[in-house]
Amino acid sequence: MNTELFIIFRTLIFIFATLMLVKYYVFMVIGPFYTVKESLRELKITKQQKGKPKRLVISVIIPARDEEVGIVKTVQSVIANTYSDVEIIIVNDGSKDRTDERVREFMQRETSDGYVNGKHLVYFYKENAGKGAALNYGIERATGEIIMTIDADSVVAKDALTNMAVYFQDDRISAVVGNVKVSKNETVIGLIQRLEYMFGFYFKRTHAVLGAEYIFGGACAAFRKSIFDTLGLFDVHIKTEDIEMSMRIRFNGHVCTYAENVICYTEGASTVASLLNQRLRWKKGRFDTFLKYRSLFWSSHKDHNKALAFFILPYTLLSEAQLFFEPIGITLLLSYSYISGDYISLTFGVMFIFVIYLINAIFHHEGMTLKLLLLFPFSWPLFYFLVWVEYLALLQSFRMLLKGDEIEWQRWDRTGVQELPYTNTTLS
Amino acid sequence: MKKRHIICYSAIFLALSLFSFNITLSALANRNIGTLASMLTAKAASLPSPSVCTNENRIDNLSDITTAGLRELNQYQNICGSFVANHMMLLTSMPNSTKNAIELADSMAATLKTYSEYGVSPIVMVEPVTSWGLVDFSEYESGFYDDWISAYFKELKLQGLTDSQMGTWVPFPEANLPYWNTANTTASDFGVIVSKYLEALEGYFPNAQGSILLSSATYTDTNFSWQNENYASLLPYITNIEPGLVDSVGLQGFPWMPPEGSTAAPITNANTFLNIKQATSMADALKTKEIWFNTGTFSTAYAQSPNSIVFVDASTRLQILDSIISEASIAKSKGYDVSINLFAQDQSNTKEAIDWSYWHSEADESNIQADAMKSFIQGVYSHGIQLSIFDNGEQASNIPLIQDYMPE
Repeated sequence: MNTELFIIFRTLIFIFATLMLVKYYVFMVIGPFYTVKESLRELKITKQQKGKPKRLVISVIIPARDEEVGIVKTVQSVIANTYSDVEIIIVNDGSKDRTDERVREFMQRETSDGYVNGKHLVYFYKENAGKGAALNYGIERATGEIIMTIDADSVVAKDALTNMAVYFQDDRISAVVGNVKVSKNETVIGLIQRLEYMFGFYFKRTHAVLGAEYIFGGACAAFRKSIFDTLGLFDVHIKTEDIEMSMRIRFNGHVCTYAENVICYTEGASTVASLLNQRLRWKKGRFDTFLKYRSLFWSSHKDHNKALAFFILPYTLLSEAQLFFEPIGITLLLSYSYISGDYISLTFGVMFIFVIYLINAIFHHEGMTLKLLLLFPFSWPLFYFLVWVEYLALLQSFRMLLKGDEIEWQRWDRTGVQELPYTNTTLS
Repeated sequence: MKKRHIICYSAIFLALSLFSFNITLSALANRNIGTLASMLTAKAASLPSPSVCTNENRIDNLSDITTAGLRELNQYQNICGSFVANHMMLLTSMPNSTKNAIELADSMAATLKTYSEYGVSPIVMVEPVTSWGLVDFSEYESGFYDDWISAYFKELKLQGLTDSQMGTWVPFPEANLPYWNTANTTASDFGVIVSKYLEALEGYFPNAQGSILLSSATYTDTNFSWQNENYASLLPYITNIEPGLVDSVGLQGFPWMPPEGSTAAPITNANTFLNIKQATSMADALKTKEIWFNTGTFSTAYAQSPNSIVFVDASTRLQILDSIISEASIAKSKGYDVSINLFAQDQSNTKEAIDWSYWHSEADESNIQADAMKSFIQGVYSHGIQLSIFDNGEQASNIPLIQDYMPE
């Protein structure tokens, strides 16, 4: 009986592993073409505009709820940006900590006329109604053609807004998601998230090449304001309003992309509990949105991106199915290797991750990634921890879906991001 | 996420991981998670190198010896740091001409004299092969080889060998396996041909030891696959042997592992592959109290087929070896004199593709496979069981071996 089960599980793992290898192989092969595609786009737009780019006003909306630790740094990073046509809208969503005091002190100190470094700074305090409502509050009051959302626990690189504006020179682009990096954090959890984000955002290159980017995280995303006129504002009834908006935009056939040179640093979860809550929010939000826009899967509608409908989204579901079997799969691989002494499969897995690391290092902006390269032999146990976290989030999401429960807004102790937005970024 | 949810989901995660581990353990090592502790302690406690295999002094002056078996015995002594055995198994083939008989006998005489010089008693397995190929048992039965066999023993006698130097002779070992040329004979013919050979031996060496060896597993010609074994009674094979002709009876049995990817169940308990009832029933029928087992364990099987290759860890080997000792001990407790021949030669480069050895060089002395063997040797002697070894290191080029005739 056990032998039969072993064969069944091994076959299942083989199927999953093969499908995942196909995905990662495709992603690795296509990813490097991102630079080519974006350079060609830039060249085409520059030609069309005969070297005279449009002046686009960017309204940066920073929703904040109990963000006394990081809010000033976030605002400072936007002010320090090289792009001049900027409006900064801070929306305090009924914070109970000293966020209000910190913002007012900063404004009093830095400006008498509402302008700092040529950028218009506006502050609103409103009753708590959730992040979606805070974003909508800001959007309704924004004057710019471009709406950029930044979390109050994040900072943007010095040239982030300048780079972001370039993408919107292309009239077809409706939304752009930036390159989010986890702030330097020497804890194990911090390290795991840095590695994870490094992978995740590298693969967004492939999404961009295929025109299939479908998640514009609130930490660092920008939208053409007209999109809100057409599709409506953020859904205030859903906690993952950013994921819902992303899918709504894709569902309605708008063109979006990923901007690797628009870098934002965000504070990662600092404890296991906060990491669990973060993953639960993401997973549940994704499932809710997938359910809402389920007709996008395998859709041949002319407005729907085929790579998204037939490759990216189905593979995302497949990943969740794989996650369900992950405790069995990983344990089987490890125990098989130990018992049989045949470490070929395990070595292949480790080497495959190493190759992804290597490619990441080659195409990554920062040399620091090469240091992370040395971590590859230890990545398996680190990712095993992440598998456990994701697994818990998956089961809880299922439970909540079945019971019709909604997630609570996540809260964790802020420590603030370490990076200062003093460096420029260029596409590699 | 609430604490109780975290605990509950973590428990599911852990349970699935353990479930998966148990399935792998069961499928690959024929164990379950309940025996995990014993498996770990077997690796951690039982396997650590026993300081010596026996308390007896090693056989001296073997270090410069060139005779294959003795050279290997010296390695075993080095690994064990003590005496290991004073019985060694060696193979020989059948003559197919008078000239060939004399040549074979001269070579064998030299070997046996060397063995005798070092106090090692030989167990000579007479493989039914000649340079022509497999011996047709019916042809042997008809007397076709009689003159050459006679010439062979006559030459051994002329070389000055004594009865005790001849040791134990085992004609046509495991003749119940279908890869021998049994097409024109039946089970009952085995007794006839064995008797014929041993009577020829007695004609020149009346006090030399004669024995038989049969495989515990029998097969049909049309269904010859290791997992299609039938551990039936072997009595039909010995009906034509006069009681008192043989001094001992041998039973051969080996563990079996399915090839990688197969769903067949492994055979790893000596209670199955080396069941003493098969041996004692033969011994009783032939009126002897001496029983010996030809057995061993392997580290690698299907060594030449990358998709089928199977590895067996040291603790599993030790577990199998322990089950062998258990079976032998039961036989001993019933009043039989019991000995075990440990088949321990690396045959991974042959058609057999099985590595029966416990190390590959003296540099491996400390490895846990060798430790398993050392523990086994300790166990054998502590139960009052005698031990012999088969390991020539490298196969002698002038002796066709059984694996040369195995199906592809």
